[in-house]
Amino acid sequence: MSRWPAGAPRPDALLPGVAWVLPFLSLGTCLLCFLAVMMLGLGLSGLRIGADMGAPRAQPATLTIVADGAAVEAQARAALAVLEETAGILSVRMIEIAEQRALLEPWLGDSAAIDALPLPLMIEVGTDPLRLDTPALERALAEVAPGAAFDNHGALRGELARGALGLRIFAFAALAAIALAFLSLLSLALKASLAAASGAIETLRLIGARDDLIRKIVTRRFLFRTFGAGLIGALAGCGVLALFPPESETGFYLTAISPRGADWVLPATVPVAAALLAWIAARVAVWRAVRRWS
Amino acid sequence: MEPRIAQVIAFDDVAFSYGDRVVLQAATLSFEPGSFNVICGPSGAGKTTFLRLCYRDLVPSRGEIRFSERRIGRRDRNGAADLRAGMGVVPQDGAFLDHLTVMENIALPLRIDGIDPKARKEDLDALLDWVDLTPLLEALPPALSRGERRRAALARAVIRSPDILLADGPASGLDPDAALQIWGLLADLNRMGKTILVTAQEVTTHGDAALADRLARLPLRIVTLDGMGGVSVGDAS
Repeated sequence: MSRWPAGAPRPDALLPGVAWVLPFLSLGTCLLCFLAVMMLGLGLSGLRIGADMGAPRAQPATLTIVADGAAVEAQARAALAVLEETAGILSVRMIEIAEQRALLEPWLGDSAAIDALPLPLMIEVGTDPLRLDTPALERALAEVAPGAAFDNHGALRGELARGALGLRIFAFAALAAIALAFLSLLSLALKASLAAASGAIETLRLIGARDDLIRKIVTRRFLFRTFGAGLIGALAGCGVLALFPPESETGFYLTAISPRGADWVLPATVPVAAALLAWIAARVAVWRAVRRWS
Repeated sequence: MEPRIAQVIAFDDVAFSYGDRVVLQAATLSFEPGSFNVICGPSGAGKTTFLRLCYRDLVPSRGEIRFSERRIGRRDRNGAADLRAGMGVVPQDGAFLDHLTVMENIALPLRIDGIDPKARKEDLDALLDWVDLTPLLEALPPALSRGERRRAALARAVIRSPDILLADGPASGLDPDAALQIWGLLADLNRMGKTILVTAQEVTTHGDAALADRLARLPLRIVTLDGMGGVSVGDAS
């Protein structure tokens, strides 16, 4: 009773269309899937930043030495000696004056004012947070180089981790809102579609169509429409995400929302999820409708 | 011992009502294979309801209806659908899918059964010829006259070659020529051994001699609903 012959017209052609319902559903699904992919990218970016900030792996720290004249050099040598003997120090590199200028230029501009500043001696220190005893290092440095200040950027990382958490909450709340909006859209489209098709469904029942067949006809229509429209929206979303510069590019660490590697699989689940929701919603709606009409 | 005649539809102490309005009260009757039955009664007597009970679109509030000795449970939705698939039902308004052509509407039961209508083209052509709708096979149902709609619905109802045909007011509201055509088609089916159940307010000829002659030659069995739950059975004479 629910088979369809090969080559026969598609079963969903048995139901009359409503002029606005399917284009409305397609457009809405396409837009919502596009937004869902964008929010997914944002959420993944938030997860990645949060993971980066909290990861117990090599992190750069800065040792700054402020002293007069020859004392700077003496303190620098003493500090380097301490660093060499400290466990958890992976690398040490002097930050050149030109690099310091480059760091300050975004804030002060390329002006003579930078040259007039008493720039400290700065050393970039690669650390292994799991092995490094930061308070002990700070005490050792204070003894040999009173002008030295060791900063592991923990405060900045904390701020970034909190920002990433906010980003995640925003993105996943937006995803939930998009899912609700999609369910509302589906509900409206299903109600209109079933109301318009009620006569046709009555006729099908009259000539012996089983509930399963009627359910199949309606669910097919919604399944394929939402999947097609969702796929277009998701592909457009992926295209936009791919346009965002990678985080390695200067100035784009926080806005690099394009997924990385295997994360690209996740946007592909958006049209599948939309089609699955549509399939379930259509089945439930038809199940209720055929019982109401019986 | 006489062989027992199978009853196509048997009502056993059946009652049905819409709230306080009683349509049937303790109705016990049956329809035998090959019989030609006309369900008569005044407007609102429950003729359509009676027919809907016969094709299991409604369930009696009391009693039991058996279909070829088979019982279908109150919640057996697939059983009810299969029962309708085995009957030919002609509703009063035709109940077409207005976006499909006459041909596609008539072939609809085949598609429900998973049969490609193209594979049954010869049968379909013969059927269209029988109901005199060949020139209209590509027309949409809203373009058909009332008589053409009834004939198209009749063709759709018999495409599966069912043993029983139920038609709700097939000739009502038609002019004598169109009514004669419908009665002729029903008589053809009855001659082929089909059991016919039709509803009609009354069996009338509108003063048409040809129609009167046609009806007089049919072995009509009249089931009269009195509108207060009572049912009586008699013949046309």
